Amino acid sequence: MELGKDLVIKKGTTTIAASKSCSFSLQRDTINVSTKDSEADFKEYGKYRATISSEHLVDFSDGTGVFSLDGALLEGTKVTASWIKKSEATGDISYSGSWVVTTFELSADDNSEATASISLESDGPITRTVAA
Amino acid sequence: MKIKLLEDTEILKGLTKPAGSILSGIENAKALSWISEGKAERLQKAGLPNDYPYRERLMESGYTSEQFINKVSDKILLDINGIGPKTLTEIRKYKPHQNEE
Repeated sequence: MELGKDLVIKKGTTTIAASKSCSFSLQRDTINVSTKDSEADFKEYGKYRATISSEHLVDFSDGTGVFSLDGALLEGTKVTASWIKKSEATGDISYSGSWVVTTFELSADDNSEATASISLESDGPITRTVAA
Repeated sequence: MKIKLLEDTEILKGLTKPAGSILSGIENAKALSWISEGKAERLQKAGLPNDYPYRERLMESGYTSEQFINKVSDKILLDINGIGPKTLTEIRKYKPHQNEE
């Protein structure tokens, strides 16, 4: 069993620091190929995409945190990132790809830690890797 | 396409995976290029190896893995339409494919 604390997002090979939570989602469109004569819906696979979202504590001095990603959104550059185990062992599964940063949100409430949320959408194929 | 890296390879800009990693979802052109350069090998698709005796008929009948076929009795295999003693001998003599997972 894997623990949530061990799964992180890495930009390249660097973990995006101060993570509070992160999620990865893989979705594929379906194409309905049913006709008037079909007794049920028949489906074919369409295109797929993935999304990553995560929440982090804000630390302006940490260049490995979310502030390594806001620039990509502002400048319109793509990033290489993975949803992966912090310390991989043989058999561990990870998902990697090229991504566009679509959301960067900062939140600073009274009597609470400041947090940053980011969302990434895949650009091209996602590579599933089983670690050696 | 599912491949196994035979050497450390930069799979995406700034991201290198070590030899032995098994990749799927990689672009076909990229995977084929690595295979031709000897950096990776293609892994067998799920199911019986391509050169397995009477492969299509066995797959159609639900016998989709060597492990499963090795567990069932000769009598059961002989009940499959088209499989006779000669084919059965070929099946039993078949050596597992190196790349099968």
